[in-house]
Amino acid sequence: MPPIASDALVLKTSKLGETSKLVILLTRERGKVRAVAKGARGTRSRYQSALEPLSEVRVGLYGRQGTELFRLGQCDLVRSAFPAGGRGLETSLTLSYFAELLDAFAQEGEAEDAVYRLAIAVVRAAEEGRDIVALARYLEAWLLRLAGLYPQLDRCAACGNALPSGPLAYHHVTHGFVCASCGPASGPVLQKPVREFLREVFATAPSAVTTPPEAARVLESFHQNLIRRHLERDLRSYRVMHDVARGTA
Amino acid sequence: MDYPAPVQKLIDELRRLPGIGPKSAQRIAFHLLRGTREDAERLGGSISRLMDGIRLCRICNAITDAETCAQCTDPGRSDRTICVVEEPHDILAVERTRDFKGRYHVLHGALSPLQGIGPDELKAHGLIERVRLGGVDEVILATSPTVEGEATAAWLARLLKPLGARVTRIAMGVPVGSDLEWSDEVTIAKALEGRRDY
Ligand SMILES: [Zn+2]
Ligand SMILES: [Zn+2]
Repeated sequence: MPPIASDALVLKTSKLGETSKLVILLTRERGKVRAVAKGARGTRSRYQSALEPLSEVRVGLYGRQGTELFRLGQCDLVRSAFPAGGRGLETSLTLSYFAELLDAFAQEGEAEDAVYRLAIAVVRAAEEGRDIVALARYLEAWLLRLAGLYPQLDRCAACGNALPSGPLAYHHVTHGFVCASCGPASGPVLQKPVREFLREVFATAPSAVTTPPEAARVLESFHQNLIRRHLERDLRSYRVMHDVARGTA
Repeated sequence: MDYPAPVQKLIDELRRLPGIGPKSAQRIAFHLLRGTREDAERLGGSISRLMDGIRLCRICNAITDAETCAQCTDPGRSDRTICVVEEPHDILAVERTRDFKGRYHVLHGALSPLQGIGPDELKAHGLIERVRLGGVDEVILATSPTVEGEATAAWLARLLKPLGARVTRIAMGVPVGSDLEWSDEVTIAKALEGRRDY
């Protein structure tokens, strides 16, 4: 049986048995898949650095239609995330967070071209040395939006009227931004620069955005709340990222 | 057919060992059944005594049966250099070179955000204290040549450099005896990065 060929991004690997690895891939053709990479551990592994997290690869997957676990055949490195990780501790840890975020949001066995293109664009922008904090907010915003979880920025979530320009008032009960007559806000109020940043996020490529420091801080907790409500758990890498930052500050 | 409960229990336990599949587990169990009671008891005894008296070295976290390990007590080794490794068995790998005459420090893992392993899960505190106390000229970071090993090295460097020690990273690159042609671009890039003068 010929393998399924696909472009893919390596999201995570874990040890399997004595010599193998279990690999979670975000593929262009099949969405998120799990595959066994036989003999992937040890110095003579034919995969070499291709299975490091966020490597962009070209894979051959073997397995029956509808299988939940493929066998990884060839896996050619297209672009390594090693240089991006080499940009420093923050970038390296944030890239791990990107991988876990993508793993959490991607659907298994379901091709989602938008998610795949988003992932590649964000990782490449990180490699080019774009501001990693801005990229984190960018990836969060887009994954939430593609999952239908990002509140509308221009319509009131309660009455549907256009929201006037200015700050955005979040309302917990309606899970959205509300106008003055439907308010007041029960959640955070996103000031004008934050709103402006979001408008930019949803209109441009990740390599083009820069976050004003205030937006980075406000949106981090705003996004984390949306993510946590959706996933109903904390992301491990997010905690590690903050533990390291606290210890080295 | 089901085996008698004690046999099945042994097979189940053996299967949890690395490299032992169901077939091997069965073979070992029946080998023991064919042998003498003394043979079986000797094996059982050494397994049950394994954990008695085994502990982590008070200084470097290596596995030892004394308060401090052989490398930490050896007067022929220098305190001025500390080689940092992820796992206790990595010490053996470095020792095989017979070139390194300094001390060690075992982290018992690497920073692994995806597995939830952060600073609190690693044994790095003792290392910082050893360097802080002074007398250490160089800390060699011999963590794995992986994204996680690199992040761990970057993290340790950030903690150690302000203490005044020279912090170095082992070179990464093309394995000895391999063919350059078959090395991927990351491997070759790392090898070029770590090049030296002749
Ligand atoms: Zn309204
Ligand atoms: Zn020791």
